[in-house]
Amino acid sequence: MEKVFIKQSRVVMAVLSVLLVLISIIFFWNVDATNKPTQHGRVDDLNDNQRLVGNQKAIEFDVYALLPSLQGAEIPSGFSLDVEGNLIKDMNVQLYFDVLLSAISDLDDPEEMHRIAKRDLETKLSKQAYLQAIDLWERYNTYSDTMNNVVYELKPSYSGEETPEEYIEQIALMLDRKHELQRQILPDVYNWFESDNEYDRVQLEKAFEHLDGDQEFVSETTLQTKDLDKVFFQMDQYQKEYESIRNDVLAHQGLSPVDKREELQKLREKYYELGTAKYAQQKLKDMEARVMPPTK
Amino acid sequence: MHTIQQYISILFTLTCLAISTNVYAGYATTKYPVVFVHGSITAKNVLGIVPSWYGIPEKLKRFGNNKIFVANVAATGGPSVRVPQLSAYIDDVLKQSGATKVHLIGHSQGGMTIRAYSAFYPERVASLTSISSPNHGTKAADVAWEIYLGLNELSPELANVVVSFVDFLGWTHGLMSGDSLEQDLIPAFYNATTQGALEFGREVSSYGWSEDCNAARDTYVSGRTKNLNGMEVTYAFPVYSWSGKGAPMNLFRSGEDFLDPSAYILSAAYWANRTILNEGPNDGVVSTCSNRLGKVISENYYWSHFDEVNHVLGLTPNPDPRSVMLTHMNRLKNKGL
Repeated sequence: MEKVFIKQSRVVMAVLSVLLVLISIIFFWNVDATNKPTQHGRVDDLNDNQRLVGNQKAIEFDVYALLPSLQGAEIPSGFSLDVEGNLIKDMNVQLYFDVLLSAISDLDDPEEMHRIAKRDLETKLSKQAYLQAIDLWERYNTYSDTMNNVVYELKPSYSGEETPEEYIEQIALMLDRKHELQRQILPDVYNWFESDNEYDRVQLEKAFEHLDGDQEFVSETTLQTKDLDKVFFQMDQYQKEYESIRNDVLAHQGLSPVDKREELQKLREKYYELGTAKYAQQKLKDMEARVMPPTK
Repeated sequence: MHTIQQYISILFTLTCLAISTNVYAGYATTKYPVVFVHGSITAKNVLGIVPSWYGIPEKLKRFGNNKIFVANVAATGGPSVRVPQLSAYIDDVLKQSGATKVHLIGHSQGGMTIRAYSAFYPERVASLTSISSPNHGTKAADVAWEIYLGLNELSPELANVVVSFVDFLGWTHGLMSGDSLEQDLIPAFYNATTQGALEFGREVSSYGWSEDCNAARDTYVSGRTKNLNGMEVTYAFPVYSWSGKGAPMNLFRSGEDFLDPSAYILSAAYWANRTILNEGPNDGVVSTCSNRLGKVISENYYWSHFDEVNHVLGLTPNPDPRSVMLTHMNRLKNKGL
């Protein structure tokens, strides 16, 4: 009897597996369709326990009129629920929050964004999932606002007299605080921030490496500075020479103003690139035209 | 039967996860590769250390776009040096990806660079996006230009030293990011003036541009033209722009500005732009009106000129510039690009 039951169970499981695979294929087909270029996607409902909600059904009110900076972009959807009807807090939820918040500047009153999100989510999710989504949304906003306030409270003002290391350390401190807030306020979705946090960590490490006086960096800079001194020295000599000849031309009594201008232009062409010389000539003419009264 | 329920439960959950992963993973997937072009006095990496587009490519990659490229062009250069540099880079991108076009996204002077590129190679452009670029010039640049001209008049040698020094800094900056690039400050500087931007729009590229920043503009351009090689080519691409308007420190809106030394400088510049120069809303460097090109996504972001590229180190006021870029990728994707 037990063996028969096991056999029946296996058959049921096999049939269910085939059905689920078929359902999955249909799902993927539809998901792919929503990824095709369209401003309004499509609704995909499975059953009460599990569904993929399209944004387009939910947006009965015109979000795009309220948030014009989102025009042309899709307001993400694809919320998933588990078998008990709980919201699965995956990257789709974060994407939804981020996209909506990217348009926060469209509104004078940030509270309006909460109303939009609530209204939109209400039409997309079952009551249970909606409440979970709203709770997360509010905490996500709290985290963002708190981060601003915390930085303000810490007031690590940059006086300009600090060393770059100290400045970067202040940033590192702020980022630590940011991570702490993520853990405190959004512990259930901390994984949402892991990639960003890792990225910050790597960048800070790179900055510290350079600022700590990475040998190669320092020697490269020293070499370049040495080259710079050489360039300036040569330039200085070159310019002194130019200036000396220029003064000779200007002081030359036998030359008319027109001749002097021509001589100076020749000199510029010799000492500077042709383009620069011509450019200077034109600009001098322009300036002259501005300051001199028009000739009759 | 309990086993069957567990089995079904696991399968459902896995199916859900697979589907949801698939949805978010494709949000930023564009058909064509995306090339980011930085502004002036910086490079692919700021001082060779921190990426100019801080965390933006990484975010896009996480949401399904694996065709993100960040160009390194002259830190101080106008189109004459930057376009050949960008062109060589894009040739590589096209070769690597097998694509025929690229999305071009430029910040500040980078916006002028991509516009110039689009004039030479319109057939290779999938879209143009200008982020706070001086498309109509800036009054601050006008003043600086006059000072430069005055200096040039008083002492061309000194003016030349200043220019050479800035060029040298630009060259060093590029070198730190791995490229020894030719620099050319003056054209880049001139392009940022009102007159220079006007000449640029009239003579170099007018895609999505209008002489008066308050006038209507094309948001999509298409047609046939002769490219640089004299070949008849067809082109069709949308043009977008957005900019920040929030350089000044504001305790009630963005505490992070305290950490950002650029905020102090930009605050002063912001108020000078608004009051003395009467530029209106601006990000401390470029006014929102000056940036307007093609379809304006938003001019309301509370960002300074550096916040727009997610600096300093991602500590920027809301909204997150990476999310704005993510949304833009989806916009391009939805256009079939």
